[in-house]
Amino acid sequence: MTRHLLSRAGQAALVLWAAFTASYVLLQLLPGDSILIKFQNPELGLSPQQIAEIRAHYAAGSPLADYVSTLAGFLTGRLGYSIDTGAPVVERLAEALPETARLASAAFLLAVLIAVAIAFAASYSRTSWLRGALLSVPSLFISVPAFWLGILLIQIFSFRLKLVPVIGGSELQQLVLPVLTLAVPISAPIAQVLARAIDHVYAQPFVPVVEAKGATRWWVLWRHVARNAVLPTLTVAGLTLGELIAGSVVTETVFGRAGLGRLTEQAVNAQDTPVMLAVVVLAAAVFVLVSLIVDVLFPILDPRLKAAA
Amino acid sequence: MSLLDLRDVAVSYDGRRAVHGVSLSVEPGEVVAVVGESGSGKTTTAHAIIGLLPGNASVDAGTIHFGPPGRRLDLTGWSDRRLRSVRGARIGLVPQDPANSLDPVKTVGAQIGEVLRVHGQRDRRRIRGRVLDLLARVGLPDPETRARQYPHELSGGMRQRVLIAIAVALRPELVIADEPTSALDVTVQRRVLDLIDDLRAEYGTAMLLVTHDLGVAAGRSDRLVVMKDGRVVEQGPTAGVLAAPEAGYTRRLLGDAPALSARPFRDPPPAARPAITVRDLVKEFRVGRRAFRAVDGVSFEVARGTTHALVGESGSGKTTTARMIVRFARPTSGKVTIAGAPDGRDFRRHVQLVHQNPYGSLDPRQSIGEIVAEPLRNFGLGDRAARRARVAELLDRVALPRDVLTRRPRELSGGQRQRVAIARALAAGPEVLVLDEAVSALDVTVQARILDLLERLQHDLGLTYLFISHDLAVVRQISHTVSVMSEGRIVETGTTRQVFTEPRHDYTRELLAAIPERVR
Amino acid sequence: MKTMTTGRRRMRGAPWLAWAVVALVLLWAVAPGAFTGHDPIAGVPADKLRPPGAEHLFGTDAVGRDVFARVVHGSVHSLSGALVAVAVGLVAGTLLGLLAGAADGVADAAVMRLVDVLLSVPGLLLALTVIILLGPGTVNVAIAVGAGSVAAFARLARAEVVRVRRADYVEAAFGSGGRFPAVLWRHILPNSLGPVVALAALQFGAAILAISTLGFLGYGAEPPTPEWGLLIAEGRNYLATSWWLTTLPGAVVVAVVLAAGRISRSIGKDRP
Repeated sequence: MTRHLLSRAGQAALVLWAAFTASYVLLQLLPGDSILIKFQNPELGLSPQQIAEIRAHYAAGSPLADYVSTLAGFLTGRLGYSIDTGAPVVERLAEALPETARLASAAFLLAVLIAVAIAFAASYSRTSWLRGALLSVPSLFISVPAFWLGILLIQIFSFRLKLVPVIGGSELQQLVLPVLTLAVPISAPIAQVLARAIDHVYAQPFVPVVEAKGATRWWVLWRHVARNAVLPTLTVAGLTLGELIAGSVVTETVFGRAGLGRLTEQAVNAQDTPVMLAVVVLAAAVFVLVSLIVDVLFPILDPRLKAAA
Repeated sequence: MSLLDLRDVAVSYDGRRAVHGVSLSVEPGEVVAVVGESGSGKTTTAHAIIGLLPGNASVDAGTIHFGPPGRRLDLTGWSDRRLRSVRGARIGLVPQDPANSLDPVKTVGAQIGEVLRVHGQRDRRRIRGRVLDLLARVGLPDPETRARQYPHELSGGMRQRVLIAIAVALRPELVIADEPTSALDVTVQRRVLDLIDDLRAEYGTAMLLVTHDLGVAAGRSDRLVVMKDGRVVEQGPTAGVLAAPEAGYTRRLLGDAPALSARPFRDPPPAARPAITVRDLVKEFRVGRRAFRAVDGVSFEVARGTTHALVGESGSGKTTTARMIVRFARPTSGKVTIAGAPDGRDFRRHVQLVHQNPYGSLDPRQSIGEIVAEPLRNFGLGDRAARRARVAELLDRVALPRDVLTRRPRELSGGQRQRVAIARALAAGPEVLVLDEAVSALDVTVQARILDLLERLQHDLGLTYLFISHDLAVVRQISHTVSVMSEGRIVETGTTRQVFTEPRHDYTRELLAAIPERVR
Repeated sequence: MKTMTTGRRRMRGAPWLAWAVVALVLLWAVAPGAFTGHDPIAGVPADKLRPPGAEHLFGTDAVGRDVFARVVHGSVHSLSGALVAVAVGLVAGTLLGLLAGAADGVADAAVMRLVDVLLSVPGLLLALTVIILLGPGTVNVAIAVGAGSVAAFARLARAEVVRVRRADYVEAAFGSGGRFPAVLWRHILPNSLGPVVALAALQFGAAILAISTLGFLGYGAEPPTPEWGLLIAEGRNYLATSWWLTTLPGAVVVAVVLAAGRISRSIGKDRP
């Protein structure tokens, strides 16, 4: 068991390192030196010597030495300096993270609730048209552009119904629409996998055996089917956590909120590679960590995997 | 008055009739066997009694009465809600497939206790005590440990015992057993059937035994109901039906069932030269850090133009041996010699394998014509016209009509598919055919036709067969010589007559004891 | 098993509506003039911000351009972008997956770790990284989105090849004297491509979504190009007064993406 855990942790670290290296290489390939673009502007009136000093400050030396020092920096929590504002990247991240964390965690909870509600209602409904209608909801959710959904929600709830003020309003009021915008697309894959898993479990031969014991429909669904269907759903739910960071880019832009997504957008606009690198590595780290946790949880939820692990 | 009474019950799937007016009855304490081939409607009929049909099925007509006088219930048209009080409490179910019939994420104890809880038991300690009693009663050693284990930690036979414990936990008046032992090895099958008999005698439970296996039905039932295409073709006392079958179909079924028809032994021709020689064959697999010997020093010879059977239960190493002989697996050590077989790719012109599952071994996207012609194309035998003529000839040989040429495998029946697989195996003109459980998935009447076909082909083409099977009755019918395998070793080899009439090894005796009397 | 069968049966029918939507949008891209007489770029200032009506199906924007004409003329950007994206993902991903599935061992492990790395970075962030590298623009956005789908194609292709390779009929084909290339061509590829094609259809819809998202964020085409995402972004300034500027183009995007998903599911089901 511990062996398995250690090897999984090693693999996770390897993937994270590779993600860091790949994004580092990609972002260094940048045509046109982003530092030059920014500081060569004649209006700033910097001399070539000053530019060279700035470059040294941003540690632009030999490529390999650069890479090693950046990697060492990431390992010790020093993420370099933003090209855009000159502030340490750590500071900018620390500023942006709490806002996004609040938004993302609320959205994730809501997404899981929506998904579970859809999948359970679909599998419990006896009429086939109702079931079909419920099951097509996730495909609709997944087809809606998040930015458009956000705009639509603002239009309906802020401008038409005037339930949520456009500017001002309480913390909660400001959070409702962005959370909904972020949650809807993420709930779709979870609902789809859960519904499919429930179908799959219903087709297992042990279900009629439970029914033959005299169990009610709800008993079968809750105590057996749901319990078995959780396993594949957990994997997908874990995968979507990484998507939350990407989704926050759109959501925060639409609602004009500060946060990680907004920071990312600014970094792309300013070709601020250190910030972008930090954001990508952060997203990869969240993804890798969550997959690791899911992997560790699996044998606890499915006794068959205990032996395999 | 009978315990269970079905009158003219009709069931359809999506509006298509599958069961046409079936009537049968079960007396208290009696065992009634419903026999039939796949698609005969036997399982549908049984499941209709307790309302466990799939969502697209409906009971269209007929009445179902259940219970002793005074407590008699008319189950016809009962809702799920009302049937729940009967399910588990008054009618138990022993399902078909022990491997997947228990919830994989719950302990065995919890799943037995569940039937008590569903029917209103709340006292945890009493439930626990009853669960341990039941586990001991169905013959599982160390019930305390078993109750805490998960299904995957038990063997197939043990799981079926757990399912039996669930079925009898509330001492129901009737148990519906749906192919209760079909997925089990013969020796395990016998012990499980003995257990069911004991429990029935003890509790006075009646049983509706659904099975495709006439041997099981003959040995274990008081009355026999023979079904075909959703209709009852004959019913009566078991001994009477077996001795003097009235319906033509019953006669055919009895004639075709290898378990009941004692045909003469096929004695090997004297002094034929060996076509296959296997010497000290070993195959090891790595399981984690340990090596596991699937095949452990196997040696035998097969004379040219004869059939040698490799018999054993699951896990005995017989399939691994076959795969090494056809060179789909490399031996860890030892040697296989096939007389006259070239090396390299041309080996496959000489030696062919027929798989167990005819559906899986045919590419679903190809037509039958393309499938049978494939070896000809691969070896570049003949031009287009010659190949077409050869395919037509092969279809004639395996008695398939010409119009299957353009059809796909899914449009064919199981027996037809296996004929296609045999035609393909014959295409390049091989001398040795390895048949891996080639008739095991087929219904008895279909199985009998394929066995006849194999015998005829051997006679016409002088083929040598290596016949891998778990079914002793089939082996007795088709093979000249037999090797009995257990745990990777051959425990006994001899002519079929010797092995069946004078078994020398205990394991062989045990295997033979597990098949019905008449074949021995 | 219970109660499911009828529902599935209903879903079975040919998705003619979905095909019709895709066909219509394709026609828009090929011959926009046949669907609208209005100019997508030059507006009539006198007609600005008209709500939808007989003259202007989707209304007009702040400079008096017909929104429907802009949606019709914009379809070519979204569709060609999505095609490029799917092509990039399909070719690169399927090749990687085939390589991994066909050559087990070290190559397989290496490719799959690479796929893990690609999967660990969310698609949009990957696309934004590529955009930092290549700069904004329609083609760059398409490549960026395609890069994000490589991992999905690679995973699926590998899984399919591994599944089909284990099938009895592939062993039987080798047993019939088949050489590897012949077996690959005759049996493995035809039987493993179905799900890959289904994924391609699904990714086509996803690519349209992603491209419009990047267009909305301002990394795609330059104004006044009538790219769908950009169109919606431009309409944001008139949310309070002119709902049609954002709602109707967005509804078109939803319809196309839904149709692609529906077609994908029907292909995925069509297995022998």
